[in-house]
Amino acid sequence: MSRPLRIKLCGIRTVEDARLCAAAGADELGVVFAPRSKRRVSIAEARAIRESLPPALGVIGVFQDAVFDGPEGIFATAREVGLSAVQLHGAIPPDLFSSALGAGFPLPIYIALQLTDRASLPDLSSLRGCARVLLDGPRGGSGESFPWALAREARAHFRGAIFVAGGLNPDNVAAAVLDAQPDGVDVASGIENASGRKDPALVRAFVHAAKAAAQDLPREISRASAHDQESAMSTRELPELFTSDPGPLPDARGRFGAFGGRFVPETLIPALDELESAFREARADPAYREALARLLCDYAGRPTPLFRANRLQTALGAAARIYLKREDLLHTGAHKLNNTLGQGLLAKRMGKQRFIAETGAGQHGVASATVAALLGLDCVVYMGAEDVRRQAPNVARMKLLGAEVRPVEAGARTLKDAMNEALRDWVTNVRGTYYCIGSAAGPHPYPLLVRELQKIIGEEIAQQSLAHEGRLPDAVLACVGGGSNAIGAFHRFIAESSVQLFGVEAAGHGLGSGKHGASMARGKPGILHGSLSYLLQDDDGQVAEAHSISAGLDYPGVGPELSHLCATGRLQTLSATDDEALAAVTLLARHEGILCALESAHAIAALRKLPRALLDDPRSVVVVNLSGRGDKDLGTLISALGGGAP
Amino acid sequence: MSALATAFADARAQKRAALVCYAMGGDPSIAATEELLLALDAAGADVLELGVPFSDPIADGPVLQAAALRALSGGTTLHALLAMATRLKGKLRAPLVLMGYANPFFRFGVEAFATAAAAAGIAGAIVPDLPLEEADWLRTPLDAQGLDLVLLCAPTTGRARMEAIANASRGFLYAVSLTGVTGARTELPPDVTDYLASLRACSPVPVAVGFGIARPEQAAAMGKLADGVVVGSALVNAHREQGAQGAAALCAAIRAALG
Repeated sequence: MSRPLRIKLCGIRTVEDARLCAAAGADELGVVFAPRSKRRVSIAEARAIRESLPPALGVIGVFQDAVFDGPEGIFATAREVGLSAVQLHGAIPPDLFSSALGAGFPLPIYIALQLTDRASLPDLSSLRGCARVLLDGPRGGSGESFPWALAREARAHFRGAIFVAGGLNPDNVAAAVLDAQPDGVDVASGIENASGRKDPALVRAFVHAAKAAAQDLPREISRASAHDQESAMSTRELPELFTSDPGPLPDARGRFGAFGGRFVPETLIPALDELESAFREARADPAYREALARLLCDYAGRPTPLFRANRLQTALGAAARIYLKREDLLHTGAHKLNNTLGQGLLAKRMGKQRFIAETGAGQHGVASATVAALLGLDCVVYMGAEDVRRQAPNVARMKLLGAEVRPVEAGARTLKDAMNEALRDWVTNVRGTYYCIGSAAGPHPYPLLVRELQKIIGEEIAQQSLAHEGRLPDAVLACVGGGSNAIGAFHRFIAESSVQLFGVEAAGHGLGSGKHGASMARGKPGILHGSLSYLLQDDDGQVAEAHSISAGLDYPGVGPELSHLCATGRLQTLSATDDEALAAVTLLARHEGILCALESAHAIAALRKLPRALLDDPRSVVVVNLSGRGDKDLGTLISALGGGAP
Repeated sequence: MSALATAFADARAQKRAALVCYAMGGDPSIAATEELLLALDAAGADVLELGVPFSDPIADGPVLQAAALRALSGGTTLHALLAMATRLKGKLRAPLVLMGYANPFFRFGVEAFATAAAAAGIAGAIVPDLPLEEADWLRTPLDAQGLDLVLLCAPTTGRARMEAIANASRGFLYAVSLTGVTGARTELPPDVTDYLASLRACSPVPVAVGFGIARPEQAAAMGKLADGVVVGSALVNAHREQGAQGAAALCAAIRAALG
């Protein structure tokens, strides 16, 4: 039995002490900016310490009484030093977390609390947005301790990490760890010698004793309160959902700039109104958020990892540090489940028993069928007959999950036609049916709804990039069909001007061939499936047939928010042909052991087409959203690659 | 008074509901549609609805989907239909109203469309995927040309919204009879009586009911509840199977049933 325990060594004043502590096995170091502290460092000293350490080792800034000078100064110091988090002592501004969000402050904020006894333990449930609390002795920095068992009580009320500090030393840290069962320990004076410098023997003894004690901790975090026993089922930290404001877009009419809106038959308008208000209510309801967070975590497997693709980087001859956001590891094999879980719970709330969906590659159909099975809903999936043929494994999966798959024979018999038919079903059965759209497209509020449910991808990328690299990425790439994985990965970064966003469209047989799915690069504004967006169409306004080897990108439209980001220049477009995507599947499989979906392979293929300044700079951090896994494409791959060996 | 308002007023003066007949433009050719419109006009249609084919007709059932596909594979465009309307100017008694999805109008350019439609003698437009909130964009240029944008109401529409739609609709109000797509039905929903009564009570313009009405006796029943009756898929089917004269015969039978 053991559980990871993080060790934070605090009050580092010199580069020498920093290196000593790092070598001894500290997980993170603290530098103190509090004016009256004897361990106070200047910004320059802190920066020298930061630069002397490996990037993966976190440096946390300790600040006092943020309420007096406001958080802006702290945010500025954090940026200047390159801190990985800030820890605040003393009085906390009541609007701290919202003002941090408003200021675009991306770092985690930790709160230190001084405890004497049980009565001094404040209501931790009010600390929304706080990633960690540090439970400290009655006088910070004095070396006095508090009753450690209070830490276990605190767990019942707080989702974030709990650290214990105050009077810890090599002799008592084991007892503190076993009694408090914290996520980490924090020490300053207990590892210093008489002259106030970090003592090598004490530092090593402290780290050793703390780690040894962690071996004896129960694996599951024990929770003190009985009513929270259900929470103890969760072995991971639940994501905080919908903490950020949806932002100014879309407006009340569902417009993202010129794009979006509601171009559907009147029959559906009341249903869209009902859906919009149901979602707004659900979004604000802690019970809905908790249920969704629990499913995302314990059922779907969030957070998905951010993986450093070293061998891919070498194979591409790139200097940039390339990461893959592993949405392919999500349950059912693609990002689609983020959305269907949220919409499935919404359907239950709205009392709609019939759950219908359209699907292209079959990933959204599988994710819909999965959620319907999980929640006991009746599921019908519309799928173009051509896609039924080329995505046979997913058709079999949907049927195994109990869904009815209805092949659509109209048009080119792909995603566009499936969506037409799903809309006709909804017009007919609107009163008892929930229509679960899989892309950030369709009439308002779907582009908003799907984006809100998918934006967790980008939020995780931001956190993970901070953890790996100490900063946000320089570029994020995602393939674009309708665009749900792309807007999910991008949304967190729209206001971060340092992060370049690249949407990769299907170039099919080539952009000049007329057989492609590049609606942003080659389309014109038009109205399809309920919203105004970039659309492949002829001069008469007839929608063109898209083409892509990947069924998920074989769509002539794109979501209205991506259209807006493209029209305003915030989003750059790239494209990859069928052949380039096939080559990218093989490249990733051979160099990283990951068989990705043909859709995601377009984003991998587009890495080569990034601006040289980004690709050749060893400081660049580039994240590719690997939206799905490739098992569903085996049939296509076998016929295209002759069994896999080009 | 607009051409559409006049057509409804004339029927009302004869103490009967107006008959609105639909034809898909260019199905299977422009020449065939021209012949069909003349035949329906002669057979007693009060208003002619000319369908503008679209690649993705989400409010249409199989009959009109197939008709649109035939029209598009024959190369039919909005430009070609306006040219046909120009040729028919002065030859039709009934006003001609275009019915089609938003994108072809959007692609044409709404200002340019309003001007061209007025020049072609078109009386107005019905756009099933253009609900009240999005309607200004097309209504403003049509208003400027004296053309009517007819809005649609559905059985799911709430009372307050019905009134707002009725007040914004021009020429007449199109009452969709059922929740569903276009196409013949053997029975119409039982609550259609109350629904149409509520609409007529709040609408300053005549109310025409459509979707699902195929046979003379259905039209006669609906004609007692509304100011007008729209027949679409049944005529398209009759035209496909029996030509323009077959469609005209059905039109005449329905017109006779209306009184």
